[in-house]
Formats: sequence, structure tokens, C-alpha cells
Amino acid sequence: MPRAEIEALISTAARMRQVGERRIKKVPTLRGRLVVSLFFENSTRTRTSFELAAKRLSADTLSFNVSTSSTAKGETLMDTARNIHAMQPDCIVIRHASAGAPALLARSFPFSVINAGDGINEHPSQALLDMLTMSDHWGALDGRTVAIVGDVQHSRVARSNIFGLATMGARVVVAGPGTMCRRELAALPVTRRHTIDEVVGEADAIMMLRIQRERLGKAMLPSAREYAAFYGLDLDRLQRARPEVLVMHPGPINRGVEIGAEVADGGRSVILDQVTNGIAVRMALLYHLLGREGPVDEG
Amino acid sequence: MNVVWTREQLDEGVKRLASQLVTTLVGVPRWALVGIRDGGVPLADELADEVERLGARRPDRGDVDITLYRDDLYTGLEKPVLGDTDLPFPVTGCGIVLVDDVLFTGRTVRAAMGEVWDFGRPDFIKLVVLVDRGHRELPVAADLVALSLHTRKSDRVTVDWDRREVRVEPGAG
Amino acid sequence: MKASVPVLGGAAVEVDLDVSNEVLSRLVAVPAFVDLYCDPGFPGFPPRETLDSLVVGAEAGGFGALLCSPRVEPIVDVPENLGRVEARGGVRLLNAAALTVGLGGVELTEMGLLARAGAVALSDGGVPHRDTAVLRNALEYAREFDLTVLLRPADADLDIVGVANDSAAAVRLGLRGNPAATEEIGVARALALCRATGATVHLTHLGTAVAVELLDRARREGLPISGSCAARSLLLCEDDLDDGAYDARYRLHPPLRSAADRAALVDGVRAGVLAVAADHQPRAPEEKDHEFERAVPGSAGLESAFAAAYTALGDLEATVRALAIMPREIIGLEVKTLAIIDPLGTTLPASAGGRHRADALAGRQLRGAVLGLSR
Repeated sequence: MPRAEIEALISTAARMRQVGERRIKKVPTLRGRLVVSLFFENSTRTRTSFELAAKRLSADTLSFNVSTSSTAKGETLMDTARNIHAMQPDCIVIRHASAGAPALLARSFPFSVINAGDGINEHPSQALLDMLTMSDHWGALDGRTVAIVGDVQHSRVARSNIFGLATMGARVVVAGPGTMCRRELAALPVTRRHTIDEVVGEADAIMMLRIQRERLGKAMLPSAREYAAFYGLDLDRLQRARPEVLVMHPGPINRGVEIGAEVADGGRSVILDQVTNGIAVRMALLYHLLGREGPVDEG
Repeated sequence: MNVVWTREQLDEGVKRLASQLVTTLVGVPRWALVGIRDGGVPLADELADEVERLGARRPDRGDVDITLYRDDLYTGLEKPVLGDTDLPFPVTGCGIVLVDDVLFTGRTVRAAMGEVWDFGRPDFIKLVVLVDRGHRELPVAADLVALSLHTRKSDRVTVDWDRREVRVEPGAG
Repeated sequence: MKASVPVLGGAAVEVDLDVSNEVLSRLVAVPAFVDLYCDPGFPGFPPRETLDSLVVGAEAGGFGALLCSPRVEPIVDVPENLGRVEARGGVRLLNAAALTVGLGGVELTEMGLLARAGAVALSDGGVPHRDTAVLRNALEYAREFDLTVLLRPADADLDIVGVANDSAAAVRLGLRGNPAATEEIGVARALALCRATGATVHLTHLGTAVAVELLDRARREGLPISGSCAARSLLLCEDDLDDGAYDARYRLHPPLRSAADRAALVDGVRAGVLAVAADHQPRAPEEKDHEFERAVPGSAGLESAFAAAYTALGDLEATVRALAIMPREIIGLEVKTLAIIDPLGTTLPASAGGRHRADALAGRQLRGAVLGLSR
């Protein structure tokens, strides 16, 4: 996504945030439009965030949680999309386990497509809300250092952030276990380090990634206590960080593993702001996509 | 291009509006000046100053950006940039005076009214404009007008607050 | 008697030994040896070895440091299981921690915490990985902690086939054969993963010519990989089994390979491609008191390692480089202890009983003797 577009989205999102501060948290902008959520992977947070964003813009919403519906019976992605297309949606918000699924829909159908996460590839709305959160505190992102710690390799949140932050002129350093922060990451615009101690001092923002517990002990990671010992953000490490550092996390957090409870709830944490900003950013995405003639592929 | 009002006329017009406003709203316990972005904001600021100078209580101030309430979003226009909407006072039980620089088709005012309604139930809504240039497409009328102009629909009417003049630029045909 | 003994490479050291003047005059002090894979025999296996007997054996063999395998009971796969004793006598006891939990090849161990608690290297404990994806992940994880990973190269399924080298000798003796190909497969896999992950790997228990060749090529390529063989492999080969005695002291795993392989190992050590380890695997008498197949494989090696290597190589400097210098580089540790060597003495490895565990080289007269350690 070009820099100008990111800036426009962040700026719009800041305004959309004001709608959430009103008594009636609604504007009539997308009245009569239909936004369909198609989630092939479980996610209450992102799905409801998109739904709420659509509703605040007065759009109609439909939600398909595919683990329970026809696709579990073997219907392909394209067939599911064709069925939904018959309902004439203006936009489909899709989360799918395969990278490129949103792109496939976007080029095959006339409705707009928003990528809510495709495999381990990207999760653009998360990166946008992260950048909005940072922008609230810093203004411009140029020249800032953002540390991303954890399973960078398999995190679409990390990847989207890396791409977005690089475009906006920020510097990204990553840290994590050798199995999740591999040398091949050199292909991305990042500086690679190992333990969190190596990055905590130079970061303006520290973004902790969720360690999926099902990955622990399955030949990717040893144990939770080993992870916390070398890659977790605890109070000690936070004290060695810059005094104005932002502590971020896409959620849901594993208290005591990648982030200490006191850190997550502490003064430098902007984790809850990220959630609020998520709705605002998704409103901005819907507004930019659907307030326009013709289909556009976002993300 | 014609300059239809110069500095002195503009200053005079603003003062007149303020004075009429104070007279009209005598006895109203609570009212606010709400500028419609972008053109209504400087006028609302000046009216607030002027009302205070006339000895009346300074009204509440707010501004609305009507981009999200427009009825022409789907006509393929470039996405307009959003401005801030801020009504930092309770709208319910308040008299709202909408302020804009130029009244034209009336659609902007309709959008602004819709937006104000989403914040609460005002006691009344009045409309104050500097220039009424005709060509209404909706049954909207201003309560107070400083300058009435005959224009062609294709003309461009600009209120320049820096140079403090009102200009009309003739359009094609 | 006190005397000043020259140190190989300069300087001299004072010793006080009960030997004749003639012997004193030919003594040399060398950097003490470091055993890269030592099965300490404890905890968990009382009849094999105790801390005291291990230390005595190490001193007698000139070993200033032992890198102990994690394959004890309980397995050293969590920091709580690391050996507590750091040094005894002149001997340092170093811990290699397990690469996977329980040496099972499925889950990674807490390598960071183990290193912080004192582990100096990681090891597969001689148990080959079946799952290559797990091995790859383990190496990637270990690489970031700068830990050397010791692997015994083998194909997990082929490894457990047979008890002697798969060759004419095994056929003649009617023993099931263990193909040398398993080592080649393991070495190739280890090389490929070393190249892919950049982890520092050390291949243990090498026994085939092809392994030496592959290793040599890899080192020329600049890969962070090294290898070693047991000292006894420089002297013994499958032909030694051919006497028909089915002597259980030759029951080793991996088994002794061909004479050509042995020759390649010797050349490899001479060329500085291979290091040499004692591969000390003490077995209690009752573990060896069985028919060949059923005997527990393994042989003591601390007391005979130097003499075995010196006899095979005939060159003191090459022997010291293989047993002392290279192991220090591989582990990345400084050991200042010295061993006192009599190049013209003889060593007679013990056969069994007492604190001496059965040594496969028992009954042979080896050139060179160690008189002990000097700090």
C-alpha cells in the first residue's frame, strides 16, 4: 500500500474514532450497503470489530463463521463466494488460512474485498490500527524504531506491520527464537536480533506477538518459562526501555508468557487503545472502499 | 471574476448578523453556534466574538464535518478528506444555530441537521449564513442572511476570510 | 622426585613423581585432553561408574575435562537435572544438555535456560533423530544461543539394524549386519542442515571413510561443522572380531567398521580433519557377561585413549592436537591443566574388575603412557 494511502486511512480513522465517542455511535454514510464477514478461521475479536465498524457506518452486516456452515461439508472457497455473491454484497471481509485467498476473490468477483488475515501472509487492518496508535503518540512515524518480538515468521500481524512501517519511514527490529525469527527474514526490511534484551533499549515501541500455546513444546519452542526468560517483556525489561516507550500487543495476551501482567496493565501499555483504534481503522477501510463506485481490493 | 463584497462590507455584514442573532435569541437560556466545515467555522468564530462584544453571554461553540452525512458519496467523487466533528456541550435542550458561509442547494444544511440530531434533541435549529446564492434544491431557508446574490448555477461563490472579500467567478454557460 | 618437565611448545612445569631419572628425562607435558563424549556412567547406573572412579580414570588418562553426555538417568533435559559437580581432582566435569526432551527427538529442550544454568553444549546423546523437521528446528533454535550441537550421524531406522559392520566379516561370523550407509546418510543430513541453518554442529562417533571425506569437503566450504572418532577406532576394525571369539568387549555401537575405514580415520586425524575422543562408555561386568548380540555395547576409554591414538598416529603433536587442542576449540573452552606424558612408556589397558571397566583394547600393549595431570 502506498504511503499516501496509509496516511489517508490513518487520518480518516482518527475522525472515525470520534463517532465512537458520541452518544449515538452511528453515521448514515454506508446506509443500504451490505458488508459480509466470511471467517474461515475462528476470531471473535477481529470479526466483531469489523461488524461493529460496518454497523457504525449504518451498513447492513452478515456474518458467516465457516467452521459451522456449508464449507465444513466440503464446499470450496469459490463456491461459498458464489453463493454469497448471489446476495449482492458490497463488500466481503474475509479471513482465511491460505495466503492469497482475498486476492482470489477480488479478481473473481465484483464486490470489494477486505483481507482480515490470510494464512501467515498479511493482516493489514491490524497494522493500520497499530500505526494509528503509534501516530497518536508520535505524529509522524519517520525515524522511529519499532521492535517486534515473538513468532515473526508466522505472524501476519508482524508482516503487515513490517511492510507498513517501512513504507512510513520507521525502522523495524525483530527478535525471537531461532525457529520463529529465522535468518531468511533478511528478505524483509528488518534488522534481526535474538533475545528481547537486545532490542528493548532502542525501541520507541515494543510490539509483543502472541505465543500460541499449541506451538509450545511442538518442536518450535521449548517451554513457556524458557520463552518468558529470553523473549518475554517483564517489568525488569520494561524498566530498561525508553521511558516513553509504547507497549503494544495485538491480543489476546498470554499473561506471564510473552508479557507480564503488570506490563500489560501498566502505564506504557496501549493495548486497549489498539482495540478502540481497530474499530476506527476498519470504519475507515469500509468508508474508503465503499464510498466509491466500483470494486477495489484492499490489502 | 467579480468582488461583490470588500473588507468593510464583510465586517459590516458580520456585525449585522451578530446583532440580529442577539435580538432574536433574547430569553433563550442556552444556545450554541455550530459551524459547518469548512466555510462556516471562521464565521461562527467571528459571530461568537461579536455576540460577546455586544454584551451578551458568549454562546457555546461547536463544529460539524458533514462528509459522512453527505448524500452524494456514491457519485464517484474522489474521497473527501474527513474533518473533525466536535460538539462539546449537551445538544439536548440546547438551541443550535448552524452557521455556514454560503447557502446554495441546501443539501449541506440537511446533512448538518441530520448529524446534529445524532448527538441529541435540540430545542430548535436556526440557520445563519453570510451569503445566500439561491438555487435551492430542498425546502431549506436561512433565518438570517447578510448578503443575497443572484447567481447562475455554474458560478463559483467564494468567501475569502484572509482577504476578507466575497467573490463570484462566472462558470461556463 | 621433583623435576622440571618441558611443555610441548615451550616453557616447563614442575612435577613431583615417583619414577626413575631415565623416565623423568623423557617426560613431556602437554595440554590435558578433553573428552568430547563421555558417558559418565552416573547418575542412574551405579554399577558402571561413580564420581570418584570416573575422576581417577580421567586423571590416569590425562583428561583435564570431560564433556558428559546427557544420556544418564534422569536425562539432562531440564536445568534441574544438570550435574552439580563442576570439578574434582584436576578434572572438570562439563555438561552437554539434551537437544530434545527425553532425547526423544520430538520436543525441544529449554536450551536457553540450560545454557544459563551451565550447559556448555547440546547433544543428541547418541540417539539419532527420526524426524528431520524437528532436528532442523532444534538446530535453528540452538544457533541463536551459540551452542555447539553434538550429533551422532545415523539414520534412525537403519541404526538399530544389526550388531556388526554389514560386510563379509559379519557374514562369516553369522552376525546381523549394520550398514555403514547409515552413517553416510546421517552425515549428509547433518551437513545439509548445518548449511541450511548455520548452526555449529559436531559429528560424533565417526567410523567410515566416506564420513571423513564429506566432513573434509564441508570444512573447506567453510561450514561450521566438525567431527571426531573414538580413539579405539584408530586401532580396531571389524577384522578384530574375526577371531571367532565373539568377545563382548568388541560389542560397540556404532560397530567397528572396515580396515579401509580405519585407515581413513587415521588419515583424517593426521590431516586435522578429525578430533579424537575417548568415547568413554563404562559397562558393568554383568552388562558384558552375555552373548555378543545381547551384551550392552560400549567400552571404557579414558585410560587408553592417549596410548591408542599415539600408537595409531605415531606423532605426538598430531595426537595432542586431536585429543586436546581441537576439542577445546570445538567446545569453546579454555582448560589450563596439563598432562604428563611418557612417549616411550607403554600402556596396558585393563580388562575388567575393580574400578577398571572393560576396555575393548584390553590385552594389547600400546605405545605411550600418561603419568597423570598437573595443574
